[in-house]
Amino acid sequence: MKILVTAKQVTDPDMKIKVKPDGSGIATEGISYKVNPFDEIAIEEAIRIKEKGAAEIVVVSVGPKDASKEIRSGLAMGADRGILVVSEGFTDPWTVASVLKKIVDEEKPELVLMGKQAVDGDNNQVGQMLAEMLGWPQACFASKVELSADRAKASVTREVDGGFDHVEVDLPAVITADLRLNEPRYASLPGIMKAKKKPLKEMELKAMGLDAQPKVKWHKFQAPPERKAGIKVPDVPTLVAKLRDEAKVI
Amino acid sequence: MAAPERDMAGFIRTHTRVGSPLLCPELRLHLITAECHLWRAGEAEVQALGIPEPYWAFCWAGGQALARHLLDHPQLARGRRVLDFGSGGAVEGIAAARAGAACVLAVDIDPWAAEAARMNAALNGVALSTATRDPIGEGCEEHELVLAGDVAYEPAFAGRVLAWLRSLAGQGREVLLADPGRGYLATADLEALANLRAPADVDDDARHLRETTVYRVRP
Repeated sequence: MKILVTAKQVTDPDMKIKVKPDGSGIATEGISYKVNPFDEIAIEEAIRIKEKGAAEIVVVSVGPKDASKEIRSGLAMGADRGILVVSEGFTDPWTVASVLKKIVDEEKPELVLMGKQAVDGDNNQVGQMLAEMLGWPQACFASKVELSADRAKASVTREVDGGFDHVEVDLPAVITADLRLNEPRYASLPGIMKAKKKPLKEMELKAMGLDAQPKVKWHKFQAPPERKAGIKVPDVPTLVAKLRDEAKVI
Repeated sequence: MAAPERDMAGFIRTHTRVGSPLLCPELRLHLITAECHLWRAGEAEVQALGIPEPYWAFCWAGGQALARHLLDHPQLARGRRVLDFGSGGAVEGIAAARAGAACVLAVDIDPWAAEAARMNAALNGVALSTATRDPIGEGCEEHELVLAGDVAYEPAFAGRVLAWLRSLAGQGREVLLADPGRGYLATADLEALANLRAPADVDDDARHLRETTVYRVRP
């Protein structure tokens, strides 16, 4: 079986992001990047499937040239080969889904496993769009994935508001990973060393012959407003009075 | 500026543990195992060490399988002059020495591998000599048996190595090679001598065994 997983390059979620003064984007100086954590969970899940039976895992990333680093991270965890679609310009979920559609058409995986969303744009659209483009079933926000013994179906537990939703999809299908699906492993040193020898194919998005112009435009970036400092109140009656008269929350 | 002298032996002792490869419990090697700090080192940390990537610190599937085969069939090495090509920690060379080889030369491009090979030989009470160079293209007239462990890990390199090993076989050298099905080796006219199940991806708990074949290279 072949599994396609994604490894989007995102700004390190543990870093403080600064917006450029003119609001045209974020300031990239001194920013470090890593694999979208939800994609890492998807990669881990693919490796666990591989550990239960044979599978080839292909890691795909759409992004700048140095997103090869994110693909190598996936290879170091245990994926088999990588495909980097180089796009230095702006891509939106439509563009990315169109690229993935084309790669799926060529690679013919039985399963696409990807993060439910990227932690930079928080769009939560690519998996759903891709399933629609392919005409495949989708199971998003997976917190548990089990393949049938013949690997023709997947039982997926989805986290929904207030509970769980249990669904079954025929493969091929698109499954997107939620936070509690698993805990991704660390890449070991031999994994990292081996990853360097694994095949990584690079192609230019422009050369793919796709009609995949972004359908959304970035309008403006804005930092959250500065929080005002809090105050200390002397006693409970003052607190209640302030909550009632000033904050008007009670 | 010349690189400062490093205490290679001290480094190897500090950063490895003495363990046995799964297929060769009778051998002891300095290995980076899951208990070692470096097992979890990322790329940046390895770069900060200022040494080439320590391939010698892992016993790859092909090397283990070839070593096992020599230990089980000592007549292959007994009394012969042996070259261990791309030796890393030289598990194959040490197995050949155990099997009664007349002498063993472990060759690797990494000087750290040479140090590890000498230390590993000492751990196992055998003698071997080391050389730090790329011998591809050499005639190896002074050797009768050439061993190549897990050397077909990259498509271009696999082709280059095999062409050279074939030419050695053509000059009358016996050449043994082992590969865990990495897919880069043209195996069509190699003679399969044995299939072993060796741990893939050097996983410590050996949950992922994969078929590893020992071949004799024909001219």
